[in-house]
Amino acid sequence: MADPPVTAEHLRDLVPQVLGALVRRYGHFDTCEDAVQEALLAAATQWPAQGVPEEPRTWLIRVASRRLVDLLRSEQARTRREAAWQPPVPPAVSGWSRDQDDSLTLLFLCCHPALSAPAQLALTLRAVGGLSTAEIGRALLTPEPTVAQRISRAKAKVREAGATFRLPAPEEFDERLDVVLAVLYLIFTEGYVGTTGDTLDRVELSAEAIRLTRLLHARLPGRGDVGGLLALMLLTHARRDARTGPGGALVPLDEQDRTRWDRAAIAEGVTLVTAALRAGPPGFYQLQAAIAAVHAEAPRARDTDWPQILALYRLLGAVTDSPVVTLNRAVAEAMVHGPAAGLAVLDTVAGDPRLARSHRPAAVRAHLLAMSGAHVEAARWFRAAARLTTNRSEQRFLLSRAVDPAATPR
Amino acid sequence: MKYLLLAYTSLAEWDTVDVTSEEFLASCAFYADLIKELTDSGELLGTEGLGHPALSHTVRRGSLVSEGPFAETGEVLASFAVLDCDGQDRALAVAARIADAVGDTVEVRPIMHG
Repeated sequence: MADPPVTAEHLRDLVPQVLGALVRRYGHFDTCEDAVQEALLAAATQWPAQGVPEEPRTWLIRVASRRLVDLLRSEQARTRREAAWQPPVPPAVSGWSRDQDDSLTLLFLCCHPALSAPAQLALTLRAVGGLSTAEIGRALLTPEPTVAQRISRAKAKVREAGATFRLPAPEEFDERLDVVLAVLYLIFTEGYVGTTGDTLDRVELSAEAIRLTRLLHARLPGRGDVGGLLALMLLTHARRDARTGPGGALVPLDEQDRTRWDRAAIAEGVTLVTAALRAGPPGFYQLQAAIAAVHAEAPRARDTDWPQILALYRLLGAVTDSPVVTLNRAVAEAMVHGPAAGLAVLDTVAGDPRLARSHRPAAVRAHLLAMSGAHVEAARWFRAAARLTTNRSEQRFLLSRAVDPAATPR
Repeated sequence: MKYLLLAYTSLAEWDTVDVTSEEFLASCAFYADLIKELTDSGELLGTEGLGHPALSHTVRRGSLVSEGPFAETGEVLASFAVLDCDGQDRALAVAARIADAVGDTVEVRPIMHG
């Protein structure tokens, strides 16, 4: 079977397959990863001029293998001078298994628990996403040398941890998958950071996270948590055009122009979350996605089924002890039973040390006070919240509410 | 999360420092090791030592230029670093090491994003 035709955009879909094939055959994850990056570079310069090869995956594997052998030989030459000599790996370019798909194994390797979250994120974007170090740097607003350092250190750590190229054992599969999901969700939320200013020439991290989660979902279609995460991303991403106004100002959910929501993404998200909720007892991602779906299905903000959302937040509170979930439940409680009920829920978490540096309790309090008509108090809390956030658009939004607390819809 | 670390030092000490003393050389070695460590971990976005505050100029609206630093105090800004790290606890831990090893007072400010 011939590979399907490849456009430049689809090139990166092949990256985990090519890298997986190399690592399975040769080991040396870190060196293979460098070799694949060089093969991608070669493709980027040769394909536009010479045309896309008939079997792009085979082409990439062949070029990357040659480069890998060169890299291993020069490494071994250096080792030979320093210590024991090892025979070079023989070049082999035929007999690759076409059906073997190692993308999943690769994703688990990049999200190895021995790595810090920023390291997992950078390594996943490069080794599974096929992004260059420069692209990752621009996307994360981090200098390229810093990203390069994070990636090479991450690869060294994976090697030191003695990680093998195989799927996690069944007894640790769920725990390892949780880490993978957390990394993918982190990539997604990073996409919402630093979106002001010149976005030209920047990889859109949220879209990249969706692409990688699709890859995971295609390989684990029966997992409710994976389907739930993909649904959550799609339902959140569907609102991207409506969530910022002129000059990058933040537009809250209840004031967004819902005609600008991406209906196709919402339909796909709703289908996915429906299936994910049937797959088993709902976890964090399924419930978050279900809440996003309820919002998405309301034609106008005032049509929102708040009792349903409140019920979902109560379920969510039972599967996680996150105080942020309680803050969100306080808002839902206020929408169903009035601001006083919301403030009572808020008081149960206001002193939580995990929220000590967060602007959120103050922002929720301001919002609930504004709902109750206590505008002077609300303005004071909006200002307190604005002082604590380090997000520019959020700060501008909170300060605008401090000037006009009555703008909070009741 | 990105943080700006501002290291303040006593102007009197700056003006009387003995650059051949063991203490001074130990500070230099500490900074060299720390920069290497934070570069290796991918957390350091940049760091510079500053010229003497006597070289500062302060510019105010209306092109009013005055010589000297913004505020005349005994404690003056000596160096800065920009870190991209896991969170405030980590930034404070790095600042504490600088304060303990060099004796500078280090202000840690979060950098806005988004």
